[in-house]
Amino acid sequence: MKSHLKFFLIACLLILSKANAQSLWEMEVSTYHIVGVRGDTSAANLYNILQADSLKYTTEFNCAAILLAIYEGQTAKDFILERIAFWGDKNDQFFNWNNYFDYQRIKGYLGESSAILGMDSIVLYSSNLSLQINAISYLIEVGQLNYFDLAKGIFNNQQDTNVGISLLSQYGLDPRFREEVINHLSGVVRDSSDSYKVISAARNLAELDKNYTIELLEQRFFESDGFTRYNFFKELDVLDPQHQMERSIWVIPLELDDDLRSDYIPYLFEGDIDFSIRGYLSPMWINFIKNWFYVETNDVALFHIRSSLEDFQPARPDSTTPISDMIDSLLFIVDTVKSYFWLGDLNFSNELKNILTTAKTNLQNGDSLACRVQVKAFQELVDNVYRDSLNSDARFVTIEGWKFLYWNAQYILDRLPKP
Amino acid sequence: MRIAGKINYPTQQQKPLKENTAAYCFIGEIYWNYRDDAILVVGDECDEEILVCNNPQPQTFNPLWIEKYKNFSYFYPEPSNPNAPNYIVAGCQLKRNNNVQGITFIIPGMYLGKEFGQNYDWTPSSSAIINLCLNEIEQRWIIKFEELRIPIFSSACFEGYIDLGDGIDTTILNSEIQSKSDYAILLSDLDYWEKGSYSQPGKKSHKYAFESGILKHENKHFQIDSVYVVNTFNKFFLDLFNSWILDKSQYSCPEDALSSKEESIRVFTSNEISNCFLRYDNLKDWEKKNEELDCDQYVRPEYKIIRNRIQNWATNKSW
Repeated sequence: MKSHLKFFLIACLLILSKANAQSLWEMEVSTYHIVGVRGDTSAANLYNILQADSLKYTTEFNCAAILLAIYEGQTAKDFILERIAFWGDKNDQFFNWNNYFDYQRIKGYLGESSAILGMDSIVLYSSNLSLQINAISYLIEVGQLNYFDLAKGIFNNQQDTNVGISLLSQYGLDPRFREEVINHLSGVVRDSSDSYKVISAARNLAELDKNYTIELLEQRFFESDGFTRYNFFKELDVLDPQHQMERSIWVIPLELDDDLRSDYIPYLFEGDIDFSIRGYLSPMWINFIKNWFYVETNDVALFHIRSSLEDFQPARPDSTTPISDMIDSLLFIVDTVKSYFWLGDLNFSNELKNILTTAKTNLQNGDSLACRVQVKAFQELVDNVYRDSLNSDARFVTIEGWKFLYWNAQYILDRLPKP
Repeated sequence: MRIAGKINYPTQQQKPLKENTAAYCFIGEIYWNYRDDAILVVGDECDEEILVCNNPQPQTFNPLWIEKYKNFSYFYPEPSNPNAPNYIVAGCQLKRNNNVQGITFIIPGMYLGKEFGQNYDWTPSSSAIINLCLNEIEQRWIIKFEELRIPIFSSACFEGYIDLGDGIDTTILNSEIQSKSDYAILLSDLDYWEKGSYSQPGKKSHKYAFESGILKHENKHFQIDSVYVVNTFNKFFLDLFNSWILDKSQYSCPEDALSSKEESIRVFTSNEISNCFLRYDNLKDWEKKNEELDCDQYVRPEYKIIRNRIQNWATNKSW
């Protein structure tokens, strides 16, 4: 019984020690640490550096302590904390808050919950704003959200950097502060005259409400001009790439700067799978640049239009798109292509749509082989008419129409089983 | 007694020398030093010359003390001595992984040709030139850094990409972009760099990179580091001025005061350099990401220029 109790107590102690070992926050090896210890990250070197009193107040010492904590963790915990304890001693003749911060950082990483109080005292008593912000960041990571007012103050006062914006946005991840933070950040996106701040706020706001951010940033895009407008366009490319094509169509006729205008006209090349370009591989864009070709005067823009028209290949739908949706999409493309006069003769377009409708019925009935036969017939018909377009027959397909119809049929065929 | 040069009395506290009581004790000549904040007084009972503070105010960090180094640029431990040896700075070798295409960090020390693994032969704190000048009004020594060199390594460190520089060298363009396919990849890569790697996690450039863009991104880090260094040392100098009271009654000569305090001053200086060195590392991931996004935003006009150069070059191509 006594031995069982002893075993139980040891087990409890092990569990407790494991619980204590839970890191409060993460630390990762960085180039800085490696530079700091002069490239030698061996445990022996790190121990040597920490044991050398002559290095106590050097960069090597700080980096060695961090690296040893990361590499050796609990094994070296007591040694590390003993060697760096003077960083936490406010009576030490060389005490400074930066070392105090590093002390708390390492303690927290090694699972010492007292590091939270340490970080807290940095916010309260250090006069170094950068350090206070760092400490607040670490406190946020452990759910200590006590400095929202201070974060708002930094957000309101920071003239030169975006640190206040990013700090505030971290509070916004908590439901208690979310709405207020969204209000603050959206105010910057909507009203700031500094485009850098607008973008910084937008990036942080997007973490909280992406659709609202896109809406606000798009409004700024519509209201601005020149390089600022281009800058917003590039940001929208990150947040909302699928609607860039429509924005290009809107902005190109308005943009007077040749260089900027040509940048709104992407170079489309066969096999291009860049997601931000996908939206441009559509009949609407191809129709736009075909018409714009006669208006444009800039050589680069003309080169991109000419090359795009020659080389583009319609985008392959995502592999998860259901085949029936692909057939529906192709039916829509037939109508679109016809409306752009890339396909002639109503009977011909009806014939194409009838084939696709039959293909879809076959598919719904579970007969994918019959579906395949129909789609293949569709593709061959398009191909034959394209090759015979010079005949006096009313039926015709232009090269653009052929590309959209032929390739989209091919993408369906690629998904259907072969006989 | 001869006073050479034009005399300015920039502060209300500093009296003209001839009225300055302390000046009466000096034997020998007084002349204006090359520094504008102290007067060198030669020939007194001390081993070291006594400098009288011309402007007994807290010192400010001289931005010219910040030195920028690219990979393989030269470091001169003794810039004023043209015959002294110089050393190659090879910071890229310390790069941690292939994804990083540029690095910026404060150089904490240098090996000057000795075996790697020993202590640094040169560090900013050990090489700092520290002097004292005398505040005659308060009869205290004021600590003055004559020089505090802060070397910052800020360089492109390419791996695995074709470097098209700033897009201006058509010889490189002609040899590296030989088809429409290359051109399409190039524009896609430019787009990647222009938007910035930090806003597109998981994506990579396929083939090309641009040194001028990487350097400009790193230059933004360099600027942020530089501002941090200036602010840190201005605060440090203010603390030195306000807290380190070295009374002349206690230290009659500057060498007495300096020998008593120099080591501590260098330790504090070293601490401040460590603080500056770890500035970026101390940031949380989201703060680092924000700084990187700022740097990417800063570099965007450069990529715009590169894009226009290459696009104009491409319009004449036959492919």
